[in-house]
Amino acid sequence: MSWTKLNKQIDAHSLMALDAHSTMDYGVKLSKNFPFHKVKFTCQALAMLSQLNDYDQHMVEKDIEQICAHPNSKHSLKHSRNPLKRLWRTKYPFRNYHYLIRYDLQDNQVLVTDVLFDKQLSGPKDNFSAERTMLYHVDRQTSATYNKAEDSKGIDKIKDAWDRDPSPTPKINTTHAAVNGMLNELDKAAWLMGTHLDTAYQGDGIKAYTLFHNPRDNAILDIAECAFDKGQGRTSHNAQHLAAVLAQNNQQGKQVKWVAHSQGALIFCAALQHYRIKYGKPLTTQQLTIHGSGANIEKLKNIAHSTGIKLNPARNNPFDLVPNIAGSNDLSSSSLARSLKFSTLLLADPGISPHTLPFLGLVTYGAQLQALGEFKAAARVRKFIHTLPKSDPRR
Amino acid sequence: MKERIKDFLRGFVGGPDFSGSIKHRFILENKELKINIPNSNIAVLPSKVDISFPHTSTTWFKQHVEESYDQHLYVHILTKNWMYVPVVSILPSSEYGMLTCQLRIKQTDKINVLDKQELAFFVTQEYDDYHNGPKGKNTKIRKEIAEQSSKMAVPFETDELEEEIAGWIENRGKPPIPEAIIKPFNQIDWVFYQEVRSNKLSRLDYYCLPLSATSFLEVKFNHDVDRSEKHKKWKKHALASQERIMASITLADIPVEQDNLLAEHNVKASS
Repeated sequence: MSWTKLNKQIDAHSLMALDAHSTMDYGVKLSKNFPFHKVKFTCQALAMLSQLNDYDQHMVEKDIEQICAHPNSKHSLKHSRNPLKRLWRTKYPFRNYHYLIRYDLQDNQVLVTDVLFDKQLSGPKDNFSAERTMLYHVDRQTSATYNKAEDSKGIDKIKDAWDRDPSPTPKINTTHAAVNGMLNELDKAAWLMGTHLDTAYQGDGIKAYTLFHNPRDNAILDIAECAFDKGQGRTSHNAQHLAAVLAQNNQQGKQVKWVAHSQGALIFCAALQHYRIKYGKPLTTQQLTIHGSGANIEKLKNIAHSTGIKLNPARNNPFDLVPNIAGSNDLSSSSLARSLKFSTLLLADPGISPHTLPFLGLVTYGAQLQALGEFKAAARVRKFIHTLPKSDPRR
Repeated sequence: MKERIKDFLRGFVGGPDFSGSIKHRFILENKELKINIPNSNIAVLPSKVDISFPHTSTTWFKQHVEESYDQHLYVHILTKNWMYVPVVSILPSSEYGMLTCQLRIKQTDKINVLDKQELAFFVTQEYDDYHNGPKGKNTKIRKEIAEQSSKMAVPFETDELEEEIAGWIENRGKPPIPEAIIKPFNQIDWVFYQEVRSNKLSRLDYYCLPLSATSFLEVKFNHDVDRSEKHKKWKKHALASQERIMASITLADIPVEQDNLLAEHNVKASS
């Protein structure tokens, strides 16, 4: 969020009158219909806008247009000490977006002085559906990693390995990033996706990563969101936002290793489709690993190939209903039977569920079920292992 | 069938089941600690549990202390989990939440632990000191916000900066917690405090009981909420269960004859 001087003649408070062409000089994309004659920006506000990805810029632009149309609306908050200073809490499909627009009104013009994170809207919420789609910087706290069968004490240690109160960030500043699946509030997504990244990129010694947090609503709305991203020709706000983040990384030449889990794979797939249409440039500096895929892997491979992003082998548990049936990756009768038998375990604690933690192989999963007291399920896993050839990578 | 109807009426399955319980006994030097742990819907393999805890020994404490990233330095005694799940569940990860009970021993030479008022002040002060100290989350947030402000064209004024920092600490740091109070259970006065946040439903409840001038027993309850919209269904049950478990705890002197037997057993074991 730092202000950098653009040249020596202007300072942070300098007011800039812009048009559709001059905005590009400052790294800001505003549409042709933007009311340029009604709005001026300070250098500070422009510098902040230029730091945002395409999607965030677009959302903030829409809100500035709202300010022009209704400068005294109830969404506008007056500064506690100086009533001439105002704040605009951005609006969004989910009631509001997470930026604050600081502005003054002078001579019937809107002077945008700054764009800030809205701390009231970022971070964890007691009502999970009030959490926002946004990027968070997550730091590692301890060296605990998930690389073998663990009992409940071991799993608790893995949960504590990552800071579960991460800080919001406007862009990716880490080498690793992740998109979480459905029904993950921020607290759970922060530790779970750190664990998935550890498994996906073993040996990278990840100290911090960026979480693209796909917030949870209730179960029905989350399923509706999945169906929306799965449908042809539709792109959710999550996917549009992620496409803009990919584009920003690409533009800045950042090497980013992604992992997407469950519904995250669906969002990624839709984001890549949107990216291909809207941005187009090959994503050669980024790579992706899919875990517990909610999307069809073959479809993802095709889209990844066409956008140039490197797709690493997926990790799907053969007992997991989500990749097998929801992702249509294995619709054989044996897969159906396996998935249904283990469907009751999907809602069990993370160590038991075939879907939640990264898949480390069937031998490990069987040992973990045994350690957590699920003897019947562990026996089923061992029986299935015997049916697989010794060279099968899922063993 | 009756049970199923009861589950439907209350809207969840699971949690501590008091229709059956296991009585655990631990030797805390010259005292015997007893606790009734109700049945759980989470099956686990039986693991080796220590029964003797020489809580005044600093050497023993250093050898057994758990790895920690916050102010809680303790030796683990016992942990039990109870899951709250929907009556009918179809989706993955649709559990409502989990209640965890953990018994542990802490040591400190900073206060006289036997003074419960002093202990009550100490436990919350430790929280504040750690999180506002060099390794603390609040210190990190303060640094970040001050740095951001210094880079702004119009930096925050001192009171604005403090307001901004307090807001972010409330949002993602470790905000001040309520003062510890004394809560009686089964004629024992426990020091009770909570680590609770305004923007999170999950919370930690702690009950502390002095064992010696330098050591105390801490019972931690973690109310881990997985689905905020369903928390109402099980939160009362979890709190009532927590209080029932607390009421089952007794700490009494070991009878002399048993004490002698134990001493003999310890001598044999060490020789």
